[in-house]
Amino acid sequence: MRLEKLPVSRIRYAGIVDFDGLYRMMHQWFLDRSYYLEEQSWKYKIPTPLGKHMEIEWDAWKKVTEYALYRIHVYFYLMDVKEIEVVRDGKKEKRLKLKMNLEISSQVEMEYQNRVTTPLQKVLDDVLYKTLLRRDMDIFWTDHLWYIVFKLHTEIKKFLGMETTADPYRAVW
Amino acid sequence: MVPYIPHTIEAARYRVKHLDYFHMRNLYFMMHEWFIEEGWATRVDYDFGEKFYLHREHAKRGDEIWFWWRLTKGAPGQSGPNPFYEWHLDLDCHVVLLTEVEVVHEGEKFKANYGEPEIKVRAYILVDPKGTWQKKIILKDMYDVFTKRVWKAELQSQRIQLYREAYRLQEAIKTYMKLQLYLPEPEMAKWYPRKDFTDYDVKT
Amino acid sequence: MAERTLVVDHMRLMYEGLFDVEELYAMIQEWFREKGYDKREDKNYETVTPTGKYVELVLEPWKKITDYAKFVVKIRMVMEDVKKVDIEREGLKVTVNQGKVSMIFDAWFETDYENRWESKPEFFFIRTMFDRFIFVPYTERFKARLLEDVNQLYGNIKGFLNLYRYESEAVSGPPTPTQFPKF
Repeated sequence: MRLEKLPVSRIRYAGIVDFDGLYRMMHQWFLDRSYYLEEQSWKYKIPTPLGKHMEIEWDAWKKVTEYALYRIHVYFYLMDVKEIEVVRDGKKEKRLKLKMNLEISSQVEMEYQNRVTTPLQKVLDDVLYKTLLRRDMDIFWTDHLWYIVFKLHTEIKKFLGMETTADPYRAVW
Repeated sequence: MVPYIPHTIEAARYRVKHLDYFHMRNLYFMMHEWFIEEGWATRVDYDFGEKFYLHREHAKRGDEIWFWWRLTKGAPGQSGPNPFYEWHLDLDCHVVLLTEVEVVHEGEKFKANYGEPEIKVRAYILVDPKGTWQKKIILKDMYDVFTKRVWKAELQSQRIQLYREAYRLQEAIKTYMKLQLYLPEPEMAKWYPRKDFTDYDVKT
Repeated sequence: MAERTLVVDHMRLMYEGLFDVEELYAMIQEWFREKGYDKREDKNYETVTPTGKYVELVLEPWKKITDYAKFVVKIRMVMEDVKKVDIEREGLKVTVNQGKVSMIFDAWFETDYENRWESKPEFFFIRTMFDRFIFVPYTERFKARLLEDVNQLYGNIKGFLNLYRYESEAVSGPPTPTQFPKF
């Protein structure tokens, strides 16, 4: 299997968040795009007087072709989590006051089915990867996955009500 | 046979020492996260580069902790160390008189620590770390000319970039310790807790 | 591994006053998109503090020039004490932000980003010699283009911020201290 790892992008937010809504929104985002989403770990640490600490890891993957697969890894680190009540449109709603660190990393996996076993197959796979599919990989797969991740990035920023939600690249892919 | 010693270009060397109430775990966590954010390490624990950890417990003198972190990365833009040069950042932390205390912050009791952490950092560039140039017939003779003439400006530029990065780490540690800062841009993004759990509206 | 040559080293822009975070960000991203740069946002941090929002952004867009060379521009933006204020513009009340902005620009000219010339020391040596002595007219021309790009972006941002400084006057919002305290 060959991996093309893309750089990690980080979002960090400290304030009041509808974490349930964010969690469900991101989950639905992956399902809408036919990704298989696996929640690999959920860690809950003993709360301190400042609040709870939680760590959540998601792994989402999708087969693009028989040779290429997209994998997106999301890591949440929530610190000083406290439940509070806010009044919105006259209604009381539960929110979390927290510090959240979100890291989104992605990679394109080539030859993910590990079907190459004999030396001849390895030579042919090398030729395929380094020459014939090079352009597809560079221009199509890595670029496509890169901008898909940024669409998720923008949705998260909009949900959190961050200041930097403008996205002139939304028409790309 | 004399072991090969690669050419070292030192970029920064400093230490930060402070005796006060602080939170050891938060300090450790903050430094760990800083290295991950700046690309020196990944979240995979066994890849981290903690070469030594010692914890001595004393009933009367307080605990003593030593840990050594030896981290490596390529220059910015590279996905790993270059065969010709590598950036290294060595962090040695020595904490003495470490005791567990209870502090009161905003009417709530917290478990914290009292002690004297001393953090020594050394940042340097290793040129030809594995000695591959010294093993080649023509390159062995060209090595001096290459590093001292052809590539000198590049190495000096790398040295300045590594120096800046090392002092950004110092700024992050001093922000945690609430010590005097001098860099124009803050580190730690006002996100990590400081030693006394205070928020960032308090100017130091 | 790729080789980066520093072309712009920590060029700074500092501003304090009225501006719009959303518009500033959109302007910068739009400029990069028009120039053909690919988007990369390494960090986007926002913290709500009692004195206002703290926003930190690290953008590192790149543009492939050839299969051997690419431009990388890095902007680190730190915005402190960002608050919403109402201003009057052409007789209409508009909400903008007030705070301090600090930007650091770096730019690198990256060669061999496909890592074809670093697998062996001999390749590294040959590549460096070619870059330094034979391809000089091309590399210098590319570096000049990159420098021109960064200067143009810097000028655009400066013009954008100056527009807010001279065009609008805050109608409501916290007063900005203009004098040192008297002892």
